[in-house]
Amino acid sequence: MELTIRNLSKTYANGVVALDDVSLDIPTGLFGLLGPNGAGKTTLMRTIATLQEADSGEIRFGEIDVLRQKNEVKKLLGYLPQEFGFYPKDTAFNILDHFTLLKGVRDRGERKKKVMELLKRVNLWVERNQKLGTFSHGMKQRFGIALTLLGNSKLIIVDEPTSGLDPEERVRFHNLLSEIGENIVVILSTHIVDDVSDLCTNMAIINNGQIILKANTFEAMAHVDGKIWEKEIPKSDLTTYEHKYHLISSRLFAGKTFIHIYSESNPVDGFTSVKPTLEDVYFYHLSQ
Amino acid sequence: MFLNIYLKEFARNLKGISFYLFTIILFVCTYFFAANLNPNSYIMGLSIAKEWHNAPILIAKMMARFSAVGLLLTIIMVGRSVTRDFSARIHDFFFTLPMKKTTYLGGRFFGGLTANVLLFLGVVLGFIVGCLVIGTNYYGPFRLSAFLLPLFALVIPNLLLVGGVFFSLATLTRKMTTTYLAGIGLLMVYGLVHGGFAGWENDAAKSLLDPFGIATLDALTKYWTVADINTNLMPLGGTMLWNRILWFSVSLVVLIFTWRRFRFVTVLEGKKKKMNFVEDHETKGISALGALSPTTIDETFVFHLRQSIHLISREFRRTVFHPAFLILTFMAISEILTNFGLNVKPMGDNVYPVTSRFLSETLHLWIYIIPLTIFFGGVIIWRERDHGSNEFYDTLPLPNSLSFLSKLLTMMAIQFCYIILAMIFAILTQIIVFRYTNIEVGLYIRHLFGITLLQFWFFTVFVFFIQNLSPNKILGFFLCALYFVADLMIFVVLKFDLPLLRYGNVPGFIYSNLNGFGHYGPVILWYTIYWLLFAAILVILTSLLWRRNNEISLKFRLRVGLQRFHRRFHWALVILFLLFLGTGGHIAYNRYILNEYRSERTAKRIQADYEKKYSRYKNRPQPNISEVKVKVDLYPEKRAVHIGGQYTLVNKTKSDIDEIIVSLSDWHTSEISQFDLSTPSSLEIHDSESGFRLFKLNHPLTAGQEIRLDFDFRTETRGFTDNNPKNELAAKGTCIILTGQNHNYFPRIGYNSEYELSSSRDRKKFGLSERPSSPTLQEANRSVPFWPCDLVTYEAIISTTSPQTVVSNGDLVRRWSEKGRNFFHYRSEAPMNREFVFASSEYDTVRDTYENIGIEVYFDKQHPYNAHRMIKGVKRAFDYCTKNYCPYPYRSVRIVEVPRYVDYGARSNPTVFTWSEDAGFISNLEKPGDVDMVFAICTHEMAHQWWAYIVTPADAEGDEMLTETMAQYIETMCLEKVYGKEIARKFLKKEMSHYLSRRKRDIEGERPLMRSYSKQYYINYPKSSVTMYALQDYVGEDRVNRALKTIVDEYGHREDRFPLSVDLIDAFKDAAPDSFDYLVTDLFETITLWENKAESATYEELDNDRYRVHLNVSTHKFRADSMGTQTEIPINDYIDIGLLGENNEELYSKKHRFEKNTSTIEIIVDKKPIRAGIDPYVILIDREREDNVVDVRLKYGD
Repeated sequence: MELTIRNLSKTYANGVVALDDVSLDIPTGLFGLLGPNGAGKTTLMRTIATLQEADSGEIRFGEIDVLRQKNEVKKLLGYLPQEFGFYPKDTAFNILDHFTLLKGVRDRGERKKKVMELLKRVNLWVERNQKLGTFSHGMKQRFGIALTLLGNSKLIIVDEPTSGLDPEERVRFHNLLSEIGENIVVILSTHIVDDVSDLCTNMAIINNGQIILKANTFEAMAHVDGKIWEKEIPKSDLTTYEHKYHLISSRLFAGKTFIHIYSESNPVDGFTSVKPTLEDVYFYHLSQ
Repeated sequence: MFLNIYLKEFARNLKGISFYLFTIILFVCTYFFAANLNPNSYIMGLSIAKEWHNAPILIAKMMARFSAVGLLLTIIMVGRSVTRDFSARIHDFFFTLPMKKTTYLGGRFFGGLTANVLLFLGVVLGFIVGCLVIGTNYYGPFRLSAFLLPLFALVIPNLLLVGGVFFSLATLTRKMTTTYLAGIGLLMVYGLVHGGFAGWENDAAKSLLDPFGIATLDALTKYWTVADINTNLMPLGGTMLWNRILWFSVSLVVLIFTWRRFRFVTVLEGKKKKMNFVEDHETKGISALGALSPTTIDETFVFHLRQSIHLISREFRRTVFHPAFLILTFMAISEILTNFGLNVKPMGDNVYPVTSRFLSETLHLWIYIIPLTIFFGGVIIWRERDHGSNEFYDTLPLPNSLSFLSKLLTMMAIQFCYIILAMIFAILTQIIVFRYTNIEVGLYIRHLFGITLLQFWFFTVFVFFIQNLSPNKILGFFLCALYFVADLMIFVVLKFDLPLLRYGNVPGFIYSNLNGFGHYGPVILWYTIYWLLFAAILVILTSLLWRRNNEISLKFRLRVGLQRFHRRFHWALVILFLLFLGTGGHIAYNRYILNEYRSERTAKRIQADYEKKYSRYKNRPQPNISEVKVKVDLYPEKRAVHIGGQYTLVNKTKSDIDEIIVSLSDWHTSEISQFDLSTPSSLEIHDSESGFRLFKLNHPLTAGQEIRLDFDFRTETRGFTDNNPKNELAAKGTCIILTGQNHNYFPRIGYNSEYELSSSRDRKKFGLSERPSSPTLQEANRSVPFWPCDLVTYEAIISTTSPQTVVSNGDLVRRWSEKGRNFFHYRSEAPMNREFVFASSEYDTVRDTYENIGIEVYFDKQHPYNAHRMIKGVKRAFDYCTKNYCPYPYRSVRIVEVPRYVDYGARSNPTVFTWSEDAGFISNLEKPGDVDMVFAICTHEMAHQWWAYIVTPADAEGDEMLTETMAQYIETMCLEKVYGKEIARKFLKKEMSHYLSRRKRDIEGERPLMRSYSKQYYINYPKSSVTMYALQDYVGEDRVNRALKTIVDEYGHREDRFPLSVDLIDAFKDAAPDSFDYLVTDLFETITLWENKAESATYEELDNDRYRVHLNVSTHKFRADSMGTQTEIPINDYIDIGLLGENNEELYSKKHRFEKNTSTIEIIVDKKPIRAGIDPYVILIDREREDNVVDVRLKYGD
């Protein structure tokens, strides 16, 4: 099943435009939604997850009208919010068992089996009886993923799952996401480019409530191939370069400032061509 | 550093929900107390009558009580401060800081303590708001010292003590559970000791040892007058000072001990450290497992039920194990237990704990249910959002109503448990404390579950409705509280009589043991259905608008609500709404159309109009009734009565009468088919609102001439109403009384001044001048009786439905049955005062005869306990009165139990006493040493046959001296003769204490007995017993009775001349030796109090086995004014001096004359004296009765 979003708009009561005529087609598999903080990612995720109402527009998941047939969507939905918490004295096993029951698994044995399977899958089996209040951030996120996998989810939405994770945890988390079946729609919203480049074949970039790029990850990179140039500069010259070139990013490496610029042709001036990363794609589009 | 820790601790307390919850509870409790205008309703064992509602001592007492009950709050606020560091595992951090333990412990302790003290703002606000709500008439100036003094003298030391103990326990054991348990245990022990359950009744010891100073305060202010209460601040000297010093030292010791024992160590020795974070064990990321196994999803309704049960049980556990919840529950339980204990012992008289007495007490649960529902309702509704797990729950594929209903049902289940607990505690109290086994489980269930619980549920539904719409929890709390206050303001304070608009309300009903819910049944039923339907509509609306997303704006929520609004909801809502309207219409039809509705205001306006229009007829000469002949057909099951008959009226005045005034309430009668005079006349005035009628006679009625009033009317009950429920017509326990006090069911001749508005506030409102309660003695007219005093012959044929029996006055000539109805023919040839009873119910009977009179007691079969005591009382009083005054003119006495709808306990009518089911028949007098109050009351009522119906007082102040004072006197003398001096003294002690402690509650100001008016019960009853006993003790019983006989001889059985209290006083002065005239003045003509004190007593043994005693006494005498302000007057009195030997043997007892305030008396006796005293049995009114007697010590030296 495919998720189609057509002309979705949402303006908050305080005047902030969160979604501005957003249209997207999201096929099965992992889909990356990339954007800086405040771009409208969470609003979009929540609207798909039936947690918010849109002003106008339409969302369809297969035959289901997401904005109206909320309960039909919920039967297929697994949603991992950006921030969440639980009663700190509950254990992972209890909460998971509790949610399995609420998802509709009647048989006690089946519930136990399901909980065990999931806990093993997210590698929390050993800590199953530990209180959630004592979990580290990474463990908590993995636990959250287990929750979204309950039932027969066909649409999984994970909102900024990797922010604040240490590199090791992030790797673990990526592995976990990549394991999720390929026949279902998984939307990963993030502001971390590596999340998308590691995992997603399809992606979109959102900024100020508008989709500024929707593409296949490889194609997006191919599009800028040979047009990204790098140079080490003194930090004080940054403004000069900013005026002179189409600067897309600057970063520090070993105390030195490196800049990336976009140029159709070789700018000479000491620049060297680099193999573009998704980050370059992302910053290129944001900088336009 | 100290300041830092201190402020942090303080702020931490202010952040928690407990702080606000408890401030609000204190506020609500205090508010209810301060705004309470019913002097018989107690909050925390206190009530207010005449004193200012913000009187300093009331504030002090309330604060002291809260500091004791609030002990559990102190556990949370102070005790928990250090353990919180442990449970939050930040103690490592604190303990490694370079900090002295004084700083750490001190900061924590005093930070918590300050927050705890701040809670008492709730009390301050409660007093202020409560007083402002009831208006300026009820409170005096607000004084800062009235709040600060108890705060510093009681609250802070108490918190220091309690806080210190719990802080110590919690800090040293580092466990909260122990601390909670210890707290609850302590409070229970305290409650038991304080409540006198342990039989510890030594006031002095209790005063000193009460750690909270409550008993101390109560003992020191026991006999304070209104003047004292309104002006004095709380006492700080005497026992209070010692008490405070004692407990302050104890708290210091505890705190020092804690400080010394406390160590900055992370782990207590001998215990394993068990609070490590989970160490992330080594993981290789995620193991590759392939696709997840598919799950079977059950979406059937049955499984949804299973899911909701799961949710409810989870939510339930979460809520009930919340510490604040446990504490609230504990407070609720102790409150109702205290009330159970208090209520079944009104004024210290034991009563069988019948179920209905407990039912009304469970209403106190409201005080706890309100904050509980508002707060935990909010907590439950917002729980997922507060934890941050709402988005998981909101995206679950569950029906919308499921999570809402689960939460609603959780709250309902909690309230259900409260009710169950209340019921269990009530039953246990009945069985264990009172050993009473007639447990009416069915009644408990109907009342508690059918009425009380449903009202709780209605409130819950409303709270859920509000919280669901509220954008956040705090605003929701606020809105719910606002609703609650608005409800009180509109319907309780402003008294809008619109029960159909007061959500969840079932209008006041009365449960009677005789009649059950009776005619209130349909009222309760219909209103309950009405609000059930409304609540169901609210439930559906809440369910439709139930929040399952992150949208706050109402626009989107309505949109979502409409999406959920399926066809079946349409139908359900429409049907419910139509049913709701229909039910409301049915109630309105019954209340406003089927029955004539009169609002309280209208009823009062009619009364005022009656006075304005007709009071000019007040002194118009009217004929007397000389004969009453009636036929009364009672239909109790239909609540109908048919009354027909005639009055014979005689002109006993010396002039002609051409206008006859008759009142008969048209509001109480449905159809009047005959109402005529036997001579030609015209009905000039007929005021159908008040029932006033004036007949103009074509030919005046000349002196001595007779005329007949023939009447025939019926009263039927249509439908149901709470507005004029006509309680007299009860299916079981109909009781109509023909009296001069009203004109509801029988015509009354002449202007009825009893019908005038009495409360001065109402009179002012309707533009009437202040009503003199009675004519003063100077302006009194001896030819006007206090109530219409017609001596009439009586004949009545009364019928009722089988198997009921009718009780009425006079002789029962014949009884027979006909067509399923029982007929009774009563008659009295001997004329009697015109007050006739028509009581019908299924009665059990006990009969006896004495001399030639028949004595019969009619009672409900559930209440057989005391009939024999009643008979004994009748016989004894009969004996006493016939011997001392005059023969009893009739041949029978009947005592009949009536439902509690009547507003008096026992009431005497000629030959019949009606006795409310609430008292007497259910008194429990099985404990040896108790005063037999049933016997006593019976002698009292019997005495009224002479002192009310043979001698009727004139209409003037002090009239009750000729009725109640005499009845109390005869009661005391009969008690003494049958049960001995000890019991009589016990009785008098209680009477004196009753008088002294109720003086302050007199709204109109105290008066001497000679000028008291009828509502001053505390003077007319208990003070009478005391003063009359003193009089006969000084001048002799025979002389007193001879004086009384002169009154009977002069005024008995007369219709033209009636005595005043001064006539009685003159008779006393005539009978007593002149040297005791002063005493008559002290006892009856003034408010006089004595302060007699035995300072010390010594004895020395003389040669001839004799003992010489030196007794130092002081005596003072005071006159009090109406507000209790005392002025000392010189003493010149005879007062008893007594010596007691071994086994309380009386060695010496003689009245000495005292002319100075202090004297030394020398007495020589034969036996060794043990105790000596002045007025040792406290015959004279004395506020300090304990100091009248001292131990006699051996004299040393000289």
